[in-house]
Amino acid sequence: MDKSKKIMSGVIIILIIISVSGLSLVSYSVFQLENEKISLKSELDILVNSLNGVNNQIINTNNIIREENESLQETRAEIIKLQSGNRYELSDPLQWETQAFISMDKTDKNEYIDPSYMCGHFARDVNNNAEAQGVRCGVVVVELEVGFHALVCFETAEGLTVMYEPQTDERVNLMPGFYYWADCVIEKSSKYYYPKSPGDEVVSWVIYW
Amino acid sequence: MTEPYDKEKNFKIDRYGPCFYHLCNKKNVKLFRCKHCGEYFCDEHINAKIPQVAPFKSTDVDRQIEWRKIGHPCLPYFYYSIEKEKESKDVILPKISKLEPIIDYIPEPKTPESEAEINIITGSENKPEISDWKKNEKQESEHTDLIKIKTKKRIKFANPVVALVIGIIFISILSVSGFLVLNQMYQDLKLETTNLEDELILTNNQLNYSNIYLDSIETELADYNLCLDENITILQSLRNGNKFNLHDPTYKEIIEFMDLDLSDELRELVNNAKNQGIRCSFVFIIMGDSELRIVGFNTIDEGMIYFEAETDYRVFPEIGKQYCACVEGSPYYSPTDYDDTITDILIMW
Repeated sequence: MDKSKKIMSGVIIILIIISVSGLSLVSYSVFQLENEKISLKSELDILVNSLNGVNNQIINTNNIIREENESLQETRAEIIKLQSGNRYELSDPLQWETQAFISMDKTDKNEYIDPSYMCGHFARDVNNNAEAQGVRCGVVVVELEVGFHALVCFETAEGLTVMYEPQTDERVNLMPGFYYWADCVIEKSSKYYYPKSPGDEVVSWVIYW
Repeated sequence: MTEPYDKEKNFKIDRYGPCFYHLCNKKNVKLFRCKHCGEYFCDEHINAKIPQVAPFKSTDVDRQIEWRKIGHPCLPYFYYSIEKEKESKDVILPKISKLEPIIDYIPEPKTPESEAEINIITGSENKPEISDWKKNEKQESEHTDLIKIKTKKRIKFANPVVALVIGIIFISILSVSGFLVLNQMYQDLKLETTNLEDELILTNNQLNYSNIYLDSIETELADYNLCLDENITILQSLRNGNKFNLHDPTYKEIIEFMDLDLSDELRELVNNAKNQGIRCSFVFIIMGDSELRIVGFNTIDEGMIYFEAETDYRVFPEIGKQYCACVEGSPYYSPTDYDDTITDILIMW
């Protein structure tokens, strides 16, 4: 009886030891795995955060690239347009050059037709012709006692502003209060003269370059 | 059969008379009541014994002793004895039967009667007093308790073997269930860890690819920046100019210029444009007897565009059309005091 009890007790103790040892081993393994899992999760979280950061950077960079690409395309288009457009090299002529240009210009040969082709049209054509020939030309709008008048002017390389009547190619020396045609227009010859007409007095003028 | 013994019906000590035992000739003696049959007996015959025929030929010593006991034969006591014995057997035997090897250790239960007999044998006081009856009763109950305790002890004594087996089974069950649970946890964790490791590797790979891709697009961005800078330089050089170097602008350039330019006077606006190299024209809008001066640009992509210098309104002048109808957004009412129909447009560059 005692022997069997002892054997049984021994068996139980061995069983308990084996069980406890086995359970401890498994528990330790589980604990280790749990720790490993936690560390893996932490690592994964860090990686995921990094990945999110990098992805955000990629998105931002892509957006910037898209914007820059659009800007680049626009810029290139602008460059192409500008390269295809006209460029105008202008210069201020010498005084004699102004005289030569006016003499050569045929606008004065046009017929004055009221109201379809008047002083403004003459001035426009002379101005545009001058620009076409690389001569910087201005338009002078003169306010008279009654109405307005248009003529052209040049800024010479000598520093003078010379004005010409585009209908007649005559030099003009504007003086406020004086009659435009009779006093301000310098006739080419003494064979003719302009009469003083009422309402023809110069009040002011503006030069549009 | 009813329980003959009742503690409430205890002995009455103030009664005198003849002893109820038929063989006793005492007539006027102090009587005691039998707790089993309820009859009154003298102090000599008050002890109850099992009624039986004389066992002269019997070899059963117990019967001999019982028969020889001094007292009165009491049928209720017989029943009581049987009942008690039965009860004891009912309680003890099932347990004892399981513990065969130790059954020898069970001592014989001592009944009050046997105790009395023992007293007779040993020559001790055999005259039952009231205290003796009480003692007997107490002893009897103690005896019953003793049996119970001993039975319990035996059970306790027998239990370790069962407990060992139960313990083994219990420990085994606990161990196995614990192992199973832990193993399941281990497997789950292992699976989860494996998944996490896979996910980690995948994420790491993704991160590497993302980093490589980021590097490549950053390089691309740097190239774009460089290219853009070069193109902007070219554009600036193309846009640059002054009143002697003019160019026909693009629509975008004009919109930018008009947004940035703060002048509200025609001559100033035109001068600013030309000083930036933008070819610009005075535009005389002839309307019957009056005229209006605005600014015009010959854009490369949109053609001629016109603006009022004072208001920066865009104008779409057309000969034969009312000027107020040519201004973008129609900010003007049609005038009533003069005719604003456009008759001619003079553009002077």
